[in-house]
Amino acid sequence: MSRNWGALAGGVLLVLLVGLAAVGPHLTRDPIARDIEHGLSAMGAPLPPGDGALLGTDQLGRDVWARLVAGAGSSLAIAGLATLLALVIGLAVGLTAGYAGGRVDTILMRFVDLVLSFPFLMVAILLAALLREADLASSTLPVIVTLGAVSWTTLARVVRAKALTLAAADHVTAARALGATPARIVLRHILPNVAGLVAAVALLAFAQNLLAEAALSYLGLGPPPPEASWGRMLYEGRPYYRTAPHLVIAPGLAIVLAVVAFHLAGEALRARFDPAERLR
Amino acid sequence: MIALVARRVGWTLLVIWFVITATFVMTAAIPADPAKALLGPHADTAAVERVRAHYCLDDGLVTQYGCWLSSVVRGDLGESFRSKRPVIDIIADRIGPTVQLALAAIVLQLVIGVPLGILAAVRRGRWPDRAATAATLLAQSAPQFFLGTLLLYLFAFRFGWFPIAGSGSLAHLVLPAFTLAAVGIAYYARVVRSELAEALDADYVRTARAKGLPERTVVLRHALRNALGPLVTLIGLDLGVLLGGAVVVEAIFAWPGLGREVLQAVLEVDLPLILGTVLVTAIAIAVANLLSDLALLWLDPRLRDRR
Repeated sequence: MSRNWGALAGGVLLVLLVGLAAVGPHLTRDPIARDIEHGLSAMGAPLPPGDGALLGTDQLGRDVWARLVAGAGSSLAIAGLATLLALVIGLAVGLTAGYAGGRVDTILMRFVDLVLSFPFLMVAILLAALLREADLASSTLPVIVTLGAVSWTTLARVVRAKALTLAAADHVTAARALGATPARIVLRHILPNVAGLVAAVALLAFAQNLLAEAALSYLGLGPPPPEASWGRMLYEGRPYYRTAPHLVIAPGLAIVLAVVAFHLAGEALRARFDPAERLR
Repeated sequence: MIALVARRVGWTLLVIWFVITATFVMTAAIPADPAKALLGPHADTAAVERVRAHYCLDDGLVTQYGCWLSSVVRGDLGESFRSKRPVIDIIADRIGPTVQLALAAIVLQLVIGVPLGILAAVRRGRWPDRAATAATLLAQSAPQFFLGTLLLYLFAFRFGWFPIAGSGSLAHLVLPAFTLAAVGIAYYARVVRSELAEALDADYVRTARAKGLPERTVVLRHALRNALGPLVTLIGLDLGVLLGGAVVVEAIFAWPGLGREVLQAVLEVDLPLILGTVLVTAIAIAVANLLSDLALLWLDPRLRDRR
């Protein structure tokens, strides 16, 4: 009962969030336009929420609500692409290990253990710093590659566990007896059966990537300005937290809400497709 | 038993080797001159030459790798291009406060998280359980820098209960340690809840109850002892999370530890320092995991028979 309630709340929040990111930018003001004349108080301080701007303005007179909506787009896009990358790596490793079994499985899973032994945020910092040194500095690509490269391990483990049991299932044995190639078996007979579980774990990874993107942005390793990602907004608003707390609270709450939504939806899907797996 | 320990130590060595190798591959794989990347954009030619010679950059990849491996093993992590000091010395100087912060966080996680988990397990399905689940979800979803800034605003700036930033006293430690521990408190509570819930359904607990022991004794003496095993592993794993999180938390509270040093290094693209810190923390975590596994082996005789 309570789980259904959580799933519903998560689903509704998700739809609202994606809708906001898709439609919102057409309804708000320009998120990048600086309005020194009307956007700042007589003392040159950010305006509080309410008069003129729904959520107030930031230190450059930009509309916080408009930036929040634009930030939904860029934060979701970055976390989404990173999750996609993690999905590709995780599926490739997990399916191979699970279907091949034996020594291949042992080696691949040991490799996953090794990757997991790295401290996540530290590696992300190193990778982001290194990629910035390459000529990709002016794009969001370093962030996406960094997050994707460190977040595929859970996916690989879950897919592998499921594929391992499926590889011994009757319908797979039947397909093999009929002479199907390993590639065909994996793609036609195993992949469809892990899809639900993969979707669930991908949603959880998405939540994790949203948080990690925000953390990297906060450290100055996120997408470059004037991109209005939520982490970047927090980073820029942080020096003003005493006089204009809305600059920190608005993007912070947005991140919390989005992560909660992805978590609830992911956990609900996971409970549906993998009842045996205890929720962590 | 000895074979088990030997295998575990061997694995730790493998992890350390992998960390050193992976950092080499990362630096070798970026499409930029590693010497220039290591020294920053304004390095003079002589310095670039020195670095190229130091890491054998003019030779083949295999020699480069050998150079990297041998200098790391000797504890030579290069020179910070900003301060020109050996990276290993900077790390040694700054790691103290960070370890202090991490230890304080672990204590908070245990002191708050474990009782919360016990409460939730004993009152399964009722409101303390629901509340703990909801609090867990929230704590896991709030970015550390958001939580930290919020705590700073409320308890340091608005109410003035704690100092705004810096270090030196116990009062300085409270807010950063709590910020760092928040996720862990939630996570520990969740793990204790699920492990204890499982233990409470076990036969020996039913026997203990049937003997007429008070519920308090059954839960704390019988069930809890068996439920705490995974927690030992978690403490080992946590070190990595805490050291990583320290970067953010130290930035918020101006805590003078390794994390702030890393952040500064990131801002000034001081790659040797970043690289060195990643290496040292990864190795520290590998060793911490080894220690927690060995401790578990010592605490829980059932594990010794496995394979």
